[in-house]
Amino acid sequence: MNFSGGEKLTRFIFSRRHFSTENKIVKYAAFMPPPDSEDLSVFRISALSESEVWGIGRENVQGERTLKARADLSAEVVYENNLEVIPDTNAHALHANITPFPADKNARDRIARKLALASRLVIMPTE
Amino acid sequence: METPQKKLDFAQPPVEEAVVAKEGLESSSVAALHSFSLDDVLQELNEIREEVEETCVVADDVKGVPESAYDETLSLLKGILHDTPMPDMMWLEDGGIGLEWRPGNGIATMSLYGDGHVIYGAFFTDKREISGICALSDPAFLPGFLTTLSRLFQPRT
Repeated sequence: MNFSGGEKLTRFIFSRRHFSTENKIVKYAAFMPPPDSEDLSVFRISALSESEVWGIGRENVQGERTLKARADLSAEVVYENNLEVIPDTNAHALHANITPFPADKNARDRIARKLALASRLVIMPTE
Repeated sequence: METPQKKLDFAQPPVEEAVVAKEGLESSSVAALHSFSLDDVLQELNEIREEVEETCVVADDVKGVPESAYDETLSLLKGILHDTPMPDMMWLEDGGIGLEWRPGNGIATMSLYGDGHVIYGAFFTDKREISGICALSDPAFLPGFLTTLSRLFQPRT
């Protein structure tokens, strides 16, 4: 199942090297899926407030790594790259995967560049 | 790693000259022109190595970066440090080192996994694109991309 192109998605970021606060950009590394995986984990956040989005990050994603930022993008950008947004609600009702990322590394980089360029950086607020 | 290949995307018109001709130069890029040293690179790589080691301890889905990827990144950047601005350097979840530049309204990247190849590409908001994989020692393709990259950051006269 795909969502509407206007659906807002977010990808949580754990490394300061995967974004730039100074330039307000998300790096392509933030959109590289894990090794041997065709899925990139995201959350659907259209209906959520900022605090609710960060709440998901803290409570459902963070684990032992410290959440630093997130990359927001529209589902439309995903579809433009011939990918889908598939719900994966085992861990959370709003969790989904951008899929299928190709196995070919060149193709993965191409997609990651495009998603990075189309995304918006949101820095984790200090508590 | 895939079979070594040379692949350029010709879905769009030839990009190199068009990109050079059309892209402007942002002020931040001017400041960064040709201003990095081997020490800068070594420091970045050491910091990345530390962060990857720490991350791999707590994250199952992050692959370690082979030492050969650090060596290849150092070697690649050693060859271009006088011609190209310092890239943003990062680790990739699938076990590589990533380099990223932001010339104008676009993004240019290189990924190195320590297998003697570099995955390179650039994409601009007007949809122009170039991408490929080549051997680090490739006498034609990689230097061509690096030349393009370098020219993207040249001030206009």
